[in-house]
Amino acid sequence: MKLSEATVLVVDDEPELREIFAAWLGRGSCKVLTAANGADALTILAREKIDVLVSDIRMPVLDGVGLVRRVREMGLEIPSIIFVSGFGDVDRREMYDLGVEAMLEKPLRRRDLLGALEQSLMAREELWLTPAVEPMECSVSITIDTRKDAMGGDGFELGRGGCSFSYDRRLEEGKTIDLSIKFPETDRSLQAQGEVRWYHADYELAGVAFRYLDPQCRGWVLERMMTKMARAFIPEGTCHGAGAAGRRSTAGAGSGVEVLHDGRGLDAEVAEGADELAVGGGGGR
Amino acid sequence: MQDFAGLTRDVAFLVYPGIQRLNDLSDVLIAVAYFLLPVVLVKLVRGRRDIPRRGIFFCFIALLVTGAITHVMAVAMPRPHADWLNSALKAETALISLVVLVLLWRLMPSMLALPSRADVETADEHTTSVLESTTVCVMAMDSEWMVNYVNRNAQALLKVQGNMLGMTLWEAFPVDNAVIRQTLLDVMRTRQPAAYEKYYQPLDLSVTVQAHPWNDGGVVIFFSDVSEQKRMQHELDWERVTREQRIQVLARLSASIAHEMKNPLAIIHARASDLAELAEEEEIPREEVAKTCASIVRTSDRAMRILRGLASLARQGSKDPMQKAEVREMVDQTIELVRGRYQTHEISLQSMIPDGLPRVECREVQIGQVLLNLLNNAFDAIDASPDSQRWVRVKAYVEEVYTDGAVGGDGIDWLQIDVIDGGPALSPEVRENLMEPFYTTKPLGGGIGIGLSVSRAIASDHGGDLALHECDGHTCFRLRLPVRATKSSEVAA
Repeated sequence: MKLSEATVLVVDDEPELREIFAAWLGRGSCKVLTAANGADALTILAREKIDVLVSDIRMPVLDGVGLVRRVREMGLEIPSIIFVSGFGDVDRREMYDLGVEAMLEKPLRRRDLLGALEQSLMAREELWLTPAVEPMECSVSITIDTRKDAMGGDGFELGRGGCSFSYDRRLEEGKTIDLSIKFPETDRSLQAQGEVRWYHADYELAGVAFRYLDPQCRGWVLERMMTKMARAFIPEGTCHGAGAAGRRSTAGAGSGVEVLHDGRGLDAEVAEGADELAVGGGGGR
Repeated sequence: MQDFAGLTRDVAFLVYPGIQRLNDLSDVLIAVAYFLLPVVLVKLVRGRRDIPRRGIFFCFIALLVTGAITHVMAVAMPRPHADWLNSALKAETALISLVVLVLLWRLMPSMLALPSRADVETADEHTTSVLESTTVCVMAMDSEWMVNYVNRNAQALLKVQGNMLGMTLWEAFPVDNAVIRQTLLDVMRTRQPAAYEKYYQPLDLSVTVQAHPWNDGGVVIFFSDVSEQKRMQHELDWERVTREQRIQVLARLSASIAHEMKNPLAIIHARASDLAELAEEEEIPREEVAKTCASIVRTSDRAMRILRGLASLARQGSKDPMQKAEVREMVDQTIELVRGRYQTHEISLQSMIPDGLPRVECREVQIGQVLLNLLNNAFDAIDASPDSQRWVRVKAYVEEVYTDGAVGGDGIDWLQIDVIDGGPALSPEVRENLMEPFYTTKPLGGGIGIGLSVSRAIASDHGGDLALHECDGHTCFRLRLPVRATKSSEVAA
């Protein structure tokens, strides 16, 4: 979808910022609605079809996080969400799981906001086509047994903008990353470039937003994203104790045979065409 | 020779019977004296325990006793027997005399070394002058705790009036502290020194004390006044507590302050970058530029106000000199710090400060801290209860000639700042404990409960007070500060 065809809802309790954001978006000739807080926004969301929600977090009555949670609870169609705020006290992992696509720090530039908007309006097919020229800042190459282990974890979940996976070394937020994940049961692998959006040290989980998908894996990744539109932008992953979901060598696969039958392993899910775990959002908490 | 002498004596006795009687009487008297002299010697030796080589006295006693016996024999026994016994006793006397001679000879140096009375007095004076000139206070007690010496410093420090000598320590200074009393008793009993610190309330005195056993069987107490150090320590502690409380309040505010700062910055940033971007693309109308710049100036003023309030609070404030300050400015600065949080939670915050209030002499940082504590408490009270009316009012006014006994009204007006909130009424239990340190009604992590007690201490430090009132059924904290009236200049700040 083009920006000019989109309807954007701007939510901020600061009238002057609301006015500025609206003016910026107006210059991009999209339709702009505004709300002063989460409650007002909720009324508008229930009434209108909104493509992108641009929201502040700290607001009276109902704050941004509360708004996004309510949207999910009410089962409203979820637009792309962009948070614009300071994020000192916000759990990024939960935000991306709730469907937030980008978190922009105030103060911000017009082109950053418009860039994020355009990105979020793009169809998956148009996304992640070109690799970055500059080398990535870090590189992760792991093997994951996607069949559930005894603790019920998968170690890998896919959202509509990225993935989360078990990883026992700290990854710094904001770093670009070369990601290579092998799934030995299926002979598939994920080759991607992305950006680390969060790392949870206690759970040893990392969340990465995609920037480029290698052609050899692009097919199955997009297919998985489409089969059931994920709510989570990056799933928050399954927490089952530090390292429990760990990167598994194939040696760990033997114990997973029984679990294979419940159809939740990656290969089983591909065979059945749909799997809530693998497209994120449905992961157990 | 003996016979010859005996004959001579016997002839004399026969010729003059009076001589016989005088002789016998003398023998009896000498015997009595010789028997009594050892008693005196024993008493002397017992009384002066510092006399060296006491053995010699027993030799003297033995000599005297044998002497006494010879004289008794001379009177009581018939001649031939007496002569025998006399000879034997003489032999013994000779022996003891030789021993005494040797002992006495050897004893001579130490006898000569015994201080004379004059020596002792000089030494005594010397000791006393040392004890009198030392800066340490000295007080000596005998084994019955009877005070027998108090040096000049001690007298001055303890404000001794009249004579303490002859009183027991416990009479002179009722020792209420059982531990200290026991310590002193232990020193007396075990003869081991002890040291402790003590605050003596009647004189507002802090002392460090060393109690030593003394070789007269009593105890000497050395003590020094450390009240000044204690006061300084107390001041430092107090300063630390207020500072920590302020930092705590600031820390609580920091998230909302960061947010408060981000919005104006975002506006300024957006306006300025917009302007720059537009300027590259096209000619910008003058009024557009003016409007944008006005917005930037307005917004940066807002940010400055927040920062000013923050900076003034973050500063060390307790050492600041008292200075005249504008009430409205102080209140506004503080309000600016919490406004964002109030707005976010939809609590209206109204300040009602009339024009023409007198300036009040205070430490601005500390008064800011008090106001911030009150505003935070009001916020918490309202936010914690669904029954609250969501408003807080800050009122300032001057109450003239306020008389309440202790602080008279003459010359002093009181500036009163009321912080009234629409939160639920406080229960009697809460009202009673509210000002106590570490009392808190807030859930764990909400605060440690020193805000109000620190605030009240700050108020009284300023010669005012902080009290809980009720205004039309609402909770009202009233901070009162003295305003020095122009007519009276001698009122203490």
